[in-house]
Amino acid sequence: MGSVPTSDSDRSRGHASTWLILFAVFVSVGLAVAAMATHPLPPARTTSDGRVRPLVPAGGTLAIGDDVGTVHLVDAVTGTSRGELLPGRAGRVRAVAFSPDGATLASVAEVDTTVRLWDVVTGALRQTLVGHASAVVTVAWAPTAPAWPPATRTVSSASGIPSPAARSAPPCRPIGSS
Amino acid sequence: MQAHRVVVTQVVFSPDGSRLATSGWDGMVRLWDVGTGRANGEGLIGHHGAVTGVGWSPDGSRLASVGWDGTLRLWDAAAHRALGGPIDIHRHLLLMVAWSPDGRSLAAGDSGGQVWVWNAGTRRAVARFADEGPSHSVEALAWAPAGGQLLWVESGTVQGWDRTTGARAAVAARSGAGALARSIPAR
Repeated sequence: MGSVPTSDSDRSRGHASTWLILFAVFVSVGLAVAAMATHPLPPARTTSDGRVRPLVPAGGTLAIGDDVGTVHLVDAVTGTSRGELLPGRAGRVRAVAFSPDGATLASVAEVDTTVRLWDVVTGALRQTLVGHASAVVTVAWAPTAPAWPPATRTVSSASGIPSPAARSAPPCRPIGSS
Repeated sequence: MQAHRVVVTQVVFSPDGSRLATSGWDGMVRLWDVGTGRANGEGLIGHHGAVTGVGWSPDGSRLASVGWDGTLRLWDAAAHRALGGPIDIHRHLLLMVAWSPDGRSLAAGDSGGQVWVWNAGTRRAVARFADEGPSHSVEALAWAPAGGQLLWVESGTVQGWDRTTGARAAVAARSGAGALARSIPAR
């Protein structure tokens, strides 16, 4: 892509999450169901125990949203926790999506009009996107989204404890007019 | 963007980022030009009832959609037409669909807690996963970005299946899990 028309040169610099597109919804109507035979297939092999085991040798992180609003980051190989993203007050997590560079996670809570952007490394809330008039149900990153400025850590001379440096990233804004 | 006027259930970018596909309770899949924000052709009509999920083939040429009518459907994303008839009709509502990164497989989850996998070329179901005992809707479904590993959330746990080895595993027990995403492998 990289060719989205913009009305000013500022926009064309393309901050990562300006490419985040999301949609709002509201509740309505009924349900249509077709009742037909289920395709006959044997059930797949299942594990005899429920233990966590390596499934994804390539590594990576799983983001798992739960029904009290917390997003758990889990090592995809070991299943061990890599941290939690705590939104404070929030309903059940409805959707999560990693940015293409894996450094930012977008999360949506049920019955919430905002999208939260998290720094996956530090667990810090980077930004809360507002603007939807009704609850957001889903969220997606453009595959062409540029990386957020990488997290840099500095060592505090007072404590010696590494702390995330302030970011220079501009806040993301909606694309175009709404 | 003019929307479906009812609930939008999913939004997905085309692999090159130039287009969006959305699914909605109006029974349609719609395509959008990201640059202009305008509709890209007419809505894709075929599902009976809500369309709950839509996904792009990795080459951007095709779309897969699932819906409350229990069908999986394929679409030509350039010609805006159905590719053949509906694939399988299920007892349960199909709730989400995901195309494997290599384009070979399609996976969908249903309201009865079952996960289905189809060969995208032959359009035939190749695997089905169902837990014993009381089942809940599949809550989320995702292929690992590389490799043929499928992950899903059902009954509060993350489960997985390796397409190559056939191994199935519980990845992480997480009470109340309901949403899922997987990052690229860490370097």
